[in-house]
Amino acid sequence: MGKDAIQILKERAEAAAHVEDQVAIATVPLSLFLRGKQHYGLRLGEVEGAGRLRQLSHVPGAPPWMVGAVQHRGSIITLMDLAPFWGVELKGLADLPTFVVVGDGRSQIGILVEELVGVHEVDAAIQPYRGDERVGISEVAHWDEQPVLVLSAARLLQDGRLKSG
Amino acid sequence: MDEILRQVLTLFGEEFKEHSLAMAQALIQADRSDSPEERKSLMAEIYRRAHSVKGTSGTLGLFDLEDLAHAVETALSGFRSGERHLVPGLAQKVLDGLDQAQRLLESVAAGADVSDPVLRATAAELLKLAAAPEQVEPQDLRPMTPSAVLTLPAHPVPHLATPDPAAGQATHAPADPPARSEDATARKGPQQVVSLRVTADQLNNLERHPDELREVRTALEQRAEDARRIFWTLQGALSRAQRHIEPELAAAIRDQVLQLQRNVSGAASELSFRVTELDRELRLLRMDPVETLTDPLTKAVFKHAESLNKKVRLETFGAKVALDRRMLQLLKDPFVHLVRNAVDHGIETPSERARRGKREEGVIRIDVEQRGNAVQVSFTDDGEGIDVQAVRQKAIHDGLLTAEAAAVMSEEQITELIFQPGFSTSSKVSRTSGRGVGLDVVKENVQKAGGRVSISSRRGQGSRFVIEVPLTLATAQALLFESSGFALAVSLSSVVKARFVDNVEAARGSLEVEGQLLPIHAMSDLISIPPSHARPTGYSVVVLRSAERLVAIRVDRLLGEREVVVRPLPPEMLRLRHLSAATPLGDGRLAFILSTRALVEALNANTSFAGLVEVARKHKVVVADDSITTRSLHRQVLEAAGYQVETAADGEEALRLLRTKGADLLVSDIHMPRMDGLTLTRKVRDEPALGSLPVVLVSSLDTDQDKQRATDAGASAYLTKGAYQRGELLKLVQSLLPS
Repeated sequence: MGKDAIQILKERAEAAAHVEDQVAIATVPLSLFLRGKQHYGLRLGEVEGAGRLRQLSHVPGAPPWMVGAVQHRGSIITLMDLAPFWGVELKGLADLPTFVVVGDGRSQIGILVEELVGVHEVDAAIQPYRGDERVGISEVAHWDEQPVLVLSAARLLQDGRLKSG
Repeated sequence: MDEILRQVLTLFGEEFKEHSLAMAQALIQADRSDSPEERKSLMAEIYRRAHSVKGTSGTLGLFDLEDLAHAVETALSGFRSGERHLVPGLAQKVLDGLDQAQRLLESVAAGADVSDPVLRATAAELLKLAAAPEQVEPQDLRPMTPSAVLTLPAHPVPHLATPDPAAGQATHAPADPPARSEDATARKGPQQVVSLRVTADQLNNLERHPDELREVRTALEQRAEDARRIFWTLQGALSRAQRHIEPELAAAIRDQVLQLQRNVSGAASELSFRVTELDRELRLLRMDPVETLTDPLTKAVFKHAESLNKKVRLETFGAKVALDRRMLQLLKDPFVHLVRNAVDHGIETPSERARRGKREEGVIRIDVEQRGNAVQVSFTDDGEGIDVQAVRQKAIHDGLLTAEAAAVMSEEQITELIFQPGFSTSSKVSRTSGRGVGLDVVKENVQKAGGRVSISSRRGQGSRFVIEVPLTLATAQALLFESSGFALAVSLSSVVKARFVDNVEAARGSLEVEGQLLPIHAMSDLISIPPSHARPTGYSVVVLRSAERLVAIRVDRLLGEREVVVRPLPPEMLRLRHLSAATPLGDGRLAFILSTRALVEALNANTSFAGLVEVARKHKVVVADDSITTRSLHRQVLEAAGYQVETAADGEEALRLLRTKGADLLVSDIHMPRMDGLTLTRKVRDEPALGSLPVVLVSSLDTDQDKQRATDAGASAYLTKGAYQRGELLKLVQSLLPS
């Protein structure tokens, strides 16, 4: 192989690497949902499923955040409402029609949402979250010039209320 | 061997297993039974199955097996009327023959020869035994006692490897013709079934589909509802536009929309039915009840006990719980080893048991229970228990522990050493016990199944091994009901009674069950759910039993008994102690299975005696009183404080309870029919095993002479009913039973 060819290949390789770096740094894909007129984002690896809420079974003696349970792919999944779980009031729909199942590889839980927005590339310049304490939220991203609260399923599932005790 | 014949033989092997198991159980039961009617019925069952085996094995060219089945028929023919007990050794010989036949079928399926001299010899032995009763004088027959079956004298076992020359002749001797030769089973023969190898992952993938199909069905139902709305909208529009539209056209549009709605609705119903069937079929693919492991143990215990000249009865409870077959496979060896171990080392000989004041017949009890996300199987025997000192010394001797370390270890820790590989304190070696092989395998297999095994033992009283394995998929019999809008269920094994209570009974607020007056609790008092709305006619009550305690709970509506698929709960729901598992209902909803134990504990916690529960739990109290109200009152007070309570209606019954079940304390009325409290106390004091039992006499008699008579009889304390208060009784009991 001649020197020119090697040079060309090298330049191509550098260019390709540069483009990848730019993409990786520029955006991050998040699964977005809407709750209380606020966008939330989940890293794709933590999303284990989603569904329309057609049949909800209320759990006797459950705390307010444990809205009910559904069968999802053969397993019983708890459906939680983030508002009472965080102890805050969120505006928006009272009857949440959709759920997204998140997991950390060991356990999983369903989160009731108003709307699944879909997977979108968000601004990768993610900032630390500095608002009221909300379990699982530690970062803020931006999509379509709106703030997106990044919810970590791993941190959420570490909460003592979600363990067998 | 021809492939088809091999498949048929494999199939017959499965069919034979079923016959063999049923015959063994019937035979053991017949040998044990004192009822001629029952024996007759059991003999008919054995006879029918033997005949079926004979027919099929002859068809397949398994002539030695055919001879054995024939010999079983012949040998049992003299006992078919049920009038006589089986002769000693006959049951054992039939069981031996069935085992040998099973081995033959397995080896034949693997390509071995179909002839089996051992089987022929067993058949010949059976025919010899069959002739024996004619020579036995009536006084030589075993006494008609239920336990006699397990004390069969040891008979010389012939050298089975040498076929008896008489065997061939005997098998062709005229036989008593089978009573039900027309039985359909005998003619049926094996069915053509082909087995396929399917991976567990493939099954797992299949199991997702019913859930997804249910979602499709719900969507279809929604579309049917949409179509119904469209129809009525259209109906209104057509009425308003009737001048502008031809009547035939309007009718045609109406009919078509109506038909569409009906079709969609019908499709949803059809889908619903199919999904339920699919669910059931899928479950059958991977589940078997635990009884598939426990039923054959009856035979194993019988044979093993007899070979050791012991009397042992195996009792099994709750074995209808179904488990994943992979789990059952792992548990098979542990089950076998634990019961054999109990027979070998746990249960004493009849003479030793008699010397210790125990019934001659030992009992091994297997309890299967689904608890939360686990299935627990306990093996309890009433034998001699584990000699902790011997275990400690052996562990030191074998170098497992230093003497210093052993000295500071608790009895529980020392006992756990028996699970160490190669550990055995037995100097005797039997076929399955005493070599130090086994309990480590029990532990290893249980751990492979993701479970754990534990042991508790009391010297002289018995041992209890508890295996707990995680619930992957299981089914259970459950009672379903509704309360405050929640679909709920409880394991049927804990349900004593469930019925509607009319207004008259409801007004009393209590229910009499098994001689106790139970207060009726609202479900909303036990778990945090809204109270039920009152109904004018009454309400339904479910009576549950947990740890010998009965509770009556009011519910809104009984939905009935069902076999349900038990789904484990996610961890956050397990924090709700009253929940044990969930089960999907056909309509996509979930019913939550309640923990009976947690409900009872919740009830205890609500009483003012909750503080005593932990201290008092292990003590057992016998309450004797001829008044049901007083018995119930005592029971409630003591149980609420955590004591185990047994009740008796008079002194005789109380004495029998004390002798058979033992107790830590007796609370007794003085005036009772058949045997009064003073006589009871004196008899208790006269019996060495009961002499030191604390006795509290409770009476309405309040004079000094009455108290003196009680003291003279040997009472530990005297309480007058007039001054009776719950706290007084409890204080007294607590002072006599310190922790």
